[in-house]
Amino acid sequence: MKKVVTKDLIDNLSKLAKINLTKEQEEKYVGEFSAVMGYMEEIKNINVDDVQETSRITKEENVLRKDVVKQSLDQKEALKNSKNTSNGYFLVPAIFKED
Amino acid sequence: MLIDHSIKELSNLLKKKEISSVDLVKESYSRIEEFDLKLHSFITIKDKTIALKEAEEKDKNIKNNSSIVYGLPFAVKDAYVTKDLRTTAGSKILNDYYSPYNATVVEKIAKAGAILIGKNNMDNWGHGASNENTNYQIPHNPWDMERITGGSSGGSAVAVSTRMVPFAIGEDTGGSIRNPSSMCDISGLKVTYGRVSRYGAIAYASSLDTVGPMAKSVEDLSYLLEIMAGYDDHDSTSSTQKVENYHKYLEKSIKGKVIGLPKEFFGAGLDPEIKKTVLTAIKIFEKLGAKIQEVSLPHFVYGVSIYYLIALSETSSNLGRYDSFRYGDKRELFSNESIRRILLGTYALSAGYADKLYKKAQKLRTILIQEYETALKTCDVLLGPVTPSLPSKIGEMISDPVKNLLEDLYTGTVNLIGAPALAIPAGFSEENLPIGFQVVGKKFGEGELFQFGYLYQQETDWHKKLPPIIQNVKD
Repeated sequence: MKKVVTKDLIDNLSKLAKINLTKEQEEKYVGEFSAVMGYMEEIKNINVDDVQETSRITKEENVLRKDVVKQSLDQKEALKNSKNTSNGYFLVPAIFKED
Repeated sequence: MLIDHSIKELSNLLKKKEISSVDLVKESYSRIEEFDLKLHSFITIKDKTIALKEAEEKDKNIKNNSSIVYGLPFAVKDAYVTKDLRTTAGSKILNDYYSPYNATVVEKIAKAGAILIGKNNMDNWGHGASNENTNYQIPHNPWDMERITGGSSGGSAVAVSTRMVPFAIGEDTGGSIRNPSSMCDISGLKVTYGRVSRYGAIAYASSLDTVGPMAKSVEDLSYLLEIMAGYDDHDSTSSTQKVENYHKYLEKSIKGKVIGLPKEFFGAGLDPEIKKTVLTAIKIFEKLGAKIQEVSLPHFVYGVSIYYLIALSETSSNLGRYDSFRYGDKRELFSNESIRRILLGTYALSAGYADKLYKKAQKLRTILIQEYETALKTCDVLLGPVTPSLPSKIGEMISDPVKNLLEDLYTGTVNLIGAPALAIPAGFSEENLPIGFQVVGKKFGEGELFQFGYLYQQETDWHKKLPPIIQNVKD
C-alpha cells in the first residue's frame, strides 16, 4: 500500500471525480494526500482475512413497498433548480460528437 | 430571557397563556439581530414577518393537548432540505437551491407546531469538525470569540448556546452533533442509526449519517426525540422499532448500573484538562450509585482510519450527484477540504485499492462492532470524552488535515457501530472553555442514556451556564 503520491495520481483521481483542478490545487493535494494516507496506512498490517465485511448496520432486510403510484413532484417543480432546461428536459453537454 | 426556560416550562407557560408564541419568536429574532452579525450561526433566516404570522396562528390555535413544542421557534442545520427556505449544506454549490420538498424531520417538528426560523451554519456537506469549512462566514464560539464552535453542526450549537432558539436539529456522521455541543456547552444526541428518518438530510456518508436533536438539557432532548423518531417509508433504513416515551426514563435511578470506561478513550492524545473533567464527571455517577468498570476496545485506536476510509468512500459517491445540471453550481466550487475528501474516497474505491482500503475498513468495522458488543455484555453504557482537544483558535485546525481528522477520535467509532451517544456539558477549562463527555449506549437504548444524563444534570449545573456574550441580555 505504500505508494508515493504523485501529481499523476491526483490528476487521475480528479478526472474520475470530475473536478478540474488548478496547478496550485494539484500541488497542495499531493502534500495533503501524503499526510492523510500516511496516517491511514496504520491499518495495513492488521490481519482481517477471516472477517466478514460490514456495509450496513440496520437490521432491516428486504424493505419493500407496494408498487403503487404516489403523488410526486410535477415537472415544473422537478426542473425548477436547473439553470439549463428545454421543453421540459434538463440540458446537458453532448456525450457523442457529431461527425 | 424566555428562551432560557426548558421546553416543558415554555410549553406550560404557552398553554397557560402567560406567554405567547409571538413573544418567543420576537425574542429569537431580537437575539439573532443582536448577536448573529458577530457569531454567524445562521446561513439563512426566515423573513421575520412570516415567522410572526405563523406564531400568531399558533397562539390562536393552542390547546391543552397540543404538542410540547407547539409554538416554539427552532432552527435546523442547513443539511436539511426545506421547501420555503433555501438549503445550502454550507456550500456555494447550493447557494441558490430551493428544495421542492421538506426533510421528514422538519415536517414532523413543524407538524407538532414548532416554527422553523432559520438554517444553521455548518462545515460544507458535513466535512469538518470545526465549522471553519463553511463557504459562508465562519461561526464563532460564544464562549471565546476567537475560537471555533466545533463542527460540523457548529451553527446549531451556537444558536442553542446563546438562546437564539430553544432547540435545533443537527446531523451527526462522525461526531458532528456531539463535538460542537461539547465545545459550546449544550446537550446533543447522536441517535441509533435508523432511529430517525434521514429523508431530506443531505447525505455525507449514508451508512453513518444520523439525525439528532441539540438542546439546553437532556430533558429537552428526550421530549424532542419522541417527536422526531420513527419509521418513514421514504427511508428504508429507518427502523420500525417502537418509539418510546423517552421522558419516562428521566426520573429512574441508575443504582447498580455499570459504566464501562474504554481505556482507549483515555490514552495518548487526550488533553489533560478534558481527561480531568471527564474523570470528575465519573465520580458523580459513582455517587448516584453506578459502578465503574474499565473495559478495552483494542481496535478503537484505528477508529479514525476506519471511519475516514468508509466515510470518504461514501462521500465521493454521494457527492457525485452534484453535476450542476439538475440543481446546484459546478463541481469546482467544492471547498479544498471537500475536494480532498472526494479524491481520497475516489482513491479508496478505485481499482486495485478497494480491497486494501475500502473493504479492509469494512472488515475492521465488523471487529469494532464485535468489541463494542462484548463490552456491553458486562456494562450498561460506555463513557468517555467527546473530543481530544479544547476548541482551537480559528484558523489553526483548517490548515492541518490530520489534526482535523483526529478530532473525530472518540466520536467517529460510535457512528461505525451505529450506537446512540449523548454529549453532556461537564465543566470548563482554566480558560473557561466548555468541556463535555459522552455516554454511549445499546442500540435503541436512547432512554437509558437520557436516564444517565438527566440524573447527572440534576447534580450539576454546567448545562445552565450562559456564555459571556449573552450574560447581560435583559429581555
